[in-house]
Amino acid sequence: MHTIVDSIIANSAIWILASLIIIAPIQTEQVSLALEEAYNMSRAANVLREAESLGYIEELARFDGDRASAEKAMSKITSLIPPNYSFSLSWSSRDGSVIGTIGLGNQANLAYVTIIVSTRAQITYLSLGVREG
Amino acid sequence: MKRAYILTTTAVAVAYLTLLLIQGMSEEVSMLRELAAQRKTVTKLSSCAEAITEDLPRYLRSEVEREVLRSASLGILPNSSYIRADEWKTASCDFLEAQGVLAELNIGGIGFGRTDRAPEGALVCKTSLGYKLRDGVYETELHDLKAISFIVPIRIYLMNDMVLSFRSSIIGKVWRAFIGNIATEGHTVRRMVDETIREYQRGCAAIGLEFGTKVGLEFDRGNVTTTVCINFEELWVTDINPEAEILVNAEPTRVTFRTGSCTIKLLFRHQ
Repeated sequence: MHTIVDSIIANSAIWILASLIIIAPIQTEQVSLALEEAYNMSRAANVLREAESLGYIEELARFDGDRASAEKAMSKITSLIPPNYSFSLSWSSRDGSVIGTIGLGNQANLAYVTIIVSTRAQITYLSLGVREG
Repeated sequence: MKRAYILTTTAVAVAYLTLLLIQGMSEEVSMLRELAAQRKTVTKLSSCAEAITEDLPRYLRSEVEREVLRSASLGILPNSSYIRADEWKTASCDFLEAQGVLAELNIGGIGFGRTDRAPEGALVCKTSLGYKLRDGVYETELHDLKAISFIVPIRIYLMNDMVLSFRSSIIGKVWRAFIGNIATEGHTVRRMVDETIREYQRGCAAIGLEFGTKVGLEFDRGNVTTTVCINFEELWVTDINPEAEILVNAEPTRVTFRTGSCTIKLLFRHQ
């Protein structure tokens, strides 16, 4: 036989559970998106750091004006990105004109890191965006 | 009456508890979001700092190479006061600003020196980069002072040494020959000069330098004095080491240290 106390406890539990079920996924989704973006950004920064230490950025800077060789150097940089990642690597001059690009192109859902690359002829920017999956 | 009271009180308590729970969750969630955003800021600032620290030597290296090429073509040592980094500083500030980073950059004085290890006699460039980077949104700040030092493997100091040493060697030999015997024949001096040239060519080839020269000799024998004019019409040294090759308009170029012609006149008084 159910007492009034039993029904109050059951009711309260349902209220609280319902609130958690409705709100928790929304909040968790937002946090996971922010954390994922931060993680992807640090991943892109690590790839560029490694490329710098391996001399790939230096190589790229030397090939300014030689499109085919520059693309090879860009491919070397993108080879450092883990295979399960989508990416976009874009090399542009100071006035915004694109010198070379590899990958998905400019996409809003990638986390980007940009570095400055001085070549013999000009000062350029190299932008790498990555996303898991 | 009693039942209604219990129901109302419990409903208020449950609502209050639910509210507290949601509020607590929201606070934790916003804290986590804040942490994620701060992590992004730190990543951005540190990658910007690394980018400018790595790129300044790259920019300066090509500026220094240009200066080495210019000075070598004139037969003089490079001058660090011709190196300017203003364009790079402006470009870097634009690059940082585009990423929401406020920057204060300070490039120290640029100095040239001579390498004391392989490649010996090449150029070492030293400067410093002070930076203060601040994220425009989160006010996170990163500042440091980095010492920048890099080697341009063109052995400009060694090439200059060779030229100076060759000139003084020729002058010294001619001087000693005439001091020893004022009647020294012209062909003897010519042979001595040619031997010295060959000696320098061999010596330079052994260390990856190409040496070339054209030395003219003129003798004027008077009753009281003998005048010897040594004319260094051409004198050049090229660094042929593979690492000394630089790109000029995308073409691999070797640096040649070339001095202009100069004439040394030696006067010997007969005793």
